[in-house]
Amino acid sequence: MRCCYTFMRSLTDTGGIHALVCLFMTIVLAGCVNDGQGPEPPVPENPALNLRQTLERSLEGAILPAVNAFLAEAQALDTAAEGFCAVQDAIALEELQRRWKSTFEQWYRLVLYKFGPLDDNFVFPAFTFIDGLRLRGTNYLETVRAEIVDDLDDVRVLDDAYFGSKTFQRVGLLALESAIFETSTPEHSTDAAAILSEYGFQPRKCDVLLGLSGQLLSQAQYVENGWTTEHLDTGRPFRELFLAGELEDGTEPLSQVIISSQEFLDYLQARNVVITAAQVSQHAWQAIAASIDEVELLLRGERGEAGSIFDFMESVGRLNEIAAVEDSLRQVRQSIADRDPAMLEITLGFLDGNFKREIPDSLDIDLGINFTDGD
Amino acid sequence: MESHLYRAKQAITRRRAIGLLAAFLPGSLPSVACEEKRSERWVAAQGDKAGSYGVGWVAPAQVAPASAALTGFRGHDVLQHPLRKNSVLVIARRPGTRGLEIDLLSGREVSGFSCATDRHLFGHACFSADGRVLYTTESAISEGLGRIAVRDAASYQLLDEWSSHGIGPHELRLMPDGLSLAVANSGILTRPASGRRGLNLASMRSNVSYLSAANGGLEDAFELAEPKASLRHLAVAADGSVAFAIQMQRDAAGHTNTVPLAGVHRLGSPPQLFDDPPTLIDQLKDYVGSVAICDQSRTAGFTSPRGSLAAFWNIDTGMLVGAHALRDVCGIASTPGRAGFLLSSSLGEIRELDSFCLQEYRAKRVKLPGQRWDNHLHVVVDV
Repeated sequence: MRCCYTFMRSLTDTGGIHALVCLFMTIVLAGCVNDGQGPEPPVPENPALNLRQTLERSLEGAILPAVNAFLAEAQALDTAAEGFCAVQDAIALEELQRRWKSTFEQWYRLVLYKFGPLDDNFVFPAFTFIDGLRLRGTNYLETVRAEIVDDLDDVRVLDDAYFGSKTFQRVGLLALESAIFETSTPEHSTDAAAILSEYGFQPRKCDVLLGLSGQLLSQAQYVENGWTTEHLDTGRPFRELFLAGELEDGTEPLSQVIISSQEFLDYLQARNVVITAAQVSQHAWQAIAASIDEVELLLRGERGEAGSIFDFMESVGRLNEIAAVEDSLRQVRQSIADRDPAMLEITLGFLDGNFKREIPDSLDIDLGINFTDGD
Repeated sequence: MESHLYRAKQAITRRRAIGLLAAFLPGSLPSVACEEKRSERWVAAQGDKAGSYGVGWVAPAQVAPASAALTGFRGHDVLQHPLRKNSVLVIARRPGTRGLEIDLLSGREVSGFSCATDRHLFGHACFSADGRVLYTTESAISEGLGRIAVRDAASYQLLDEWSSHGIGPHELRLMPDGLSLAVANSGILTRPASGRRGLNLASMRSNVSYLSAANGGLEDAFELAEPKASLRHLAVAADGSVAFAIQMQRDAAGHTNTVPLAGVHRLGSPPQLFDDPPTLIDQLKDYVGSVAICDQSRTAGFTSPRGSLAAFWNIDTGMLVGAHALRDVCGIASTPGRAGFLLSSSLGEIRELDSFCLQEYRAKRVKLPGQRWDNHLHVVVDV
């Protein structure tokens, strides 16, 4: 690799233009990935096989469990909503709120993998129907509040078809949060007794709750179905397309995982999510902690299972890069423990940077020159 | 409950997709085998580090590695020389100072130029209608003002220099009448000493100015309401409609509102922004890197490498026609004579789409690993 770099430099240094027609030029260019800066890491005997293992480990050990867990949480939330509406007491409300929080946390793990079934449409991607904030950090709390009031005041039938036709700004976890953690009165009380009282005198509110929880469940089922059964009209599960490297936009699958994770970390800091998400339930810090748990799971894998991203990085001698990522993770954890939004933003920036540099460099992932340095 | 809601979602999604396609479904795709000029070449700057920078080119449907020549600098735009059809001119990207003419048949340097003292390029140029004059966007470094350098296209001798009527002029295009130039002034001041960092983001004002191609006199100009929307790239339709592409300076904006990144302008009218659908615009990630127009379909295509997405609007109706996902897509060009768009990525792919329905001719997909197609793609013919 170093010799082809030297060869290239000699071509330019000897002045002028050197036409290297076809063949060899491209082969040389393709080979000159490392520019010879710093010691070259040891290369495992079969790096392609190891990267394949890392891809499979990421899928089986992190991505698919996150998909399945979100579906399970959405199902449990829907069940809790039905249970609450049957009895409408403080214990059932507490259980419902607990279920919403665990569903929200699980979403903050799954959304790290915002591609495939979650990002299935250029205009109306599935993820927006779960979490409208994720699109660009716009908080639709007042929109969902007004929508719930409209639904309560109206006489229309609040059935599944109605909720399935709503735009993304009016459904999803945020709408459920408003329905579960506060009243729909102008003061938006979060007092449990006030919430119970409203459900008691306003029977349509349970229709709203059940419609919203059913809609969220349908989204979770859609995502799980796309991964495991059929993605769009391809006739194949996205899991299969992913492993085969047949993503429509030509992205290599492991690159997709890293890029998606990086974009999420960028979103968390750039949109200051900790002070905009889950403000009614006061559950943003826990959700972001769950995201960091997922990042760690993706990087480290499950205890005792080989083939994680860190395992691959270690196998190619990228110990300094692993240390840099671990240091960023430690600092993010500390800022979460301290409930320090300013430090969280800064430290998420460090981790975001690791996903732009140390990790893709170690995995030999190409983010693209236009992506990283266009004009 | 879940299953029919799921089906409803699917149906809605499909209906939306069908809605987008409805306008052009009745006609079938033109034959993939429709006539192509055998002398057609797809050309772009390429390379990802010093020592590999150059220009690369392929013929349609080429499966062998691309031809390439080193330039010694990172190029940005590449133009076919109107007087020497076998040649392309590679313009150094900001803040480079060189233009280099390459013969595509021999792969050798034919000629070239360097900027005058205290000037640098922005990666773009265009030729006059008769091909005898070359215009480049440049910066007067000391003053920080935009300039249009006027050169003899045969010898590259500097003939004149005009104001671009803005700061940081980027792409410029000759209008169809051959009498005027459209110049995108990005509004962003950079200096070589401080790299590519914007030095005036707080006060930046971007515009598109229309200048006389004969003497540089200002004929018209427009700005956008969003002050941090940097007008950067242009494409011109046969009727004079100018499609413009924007790079939003979000860090300086102080808000997170969706900002349209594409639009069209016609002389005498206010600019029309392509502001719908906002959910798709958000996926362009505040950045459009290139634009092209297909006159037959009246469609303008805009590429976002940050969103890995190309989006297409009808320039008459302002309606979204469709989108195509391609990792790190940036180069876009219309295909001569067959109403198509070419898209290129720095990961070596070139894809061709029908410009009416935006379906890809998958059989024509070119994938050349190691070929790093840079910002802009051009189709040259009659080589």
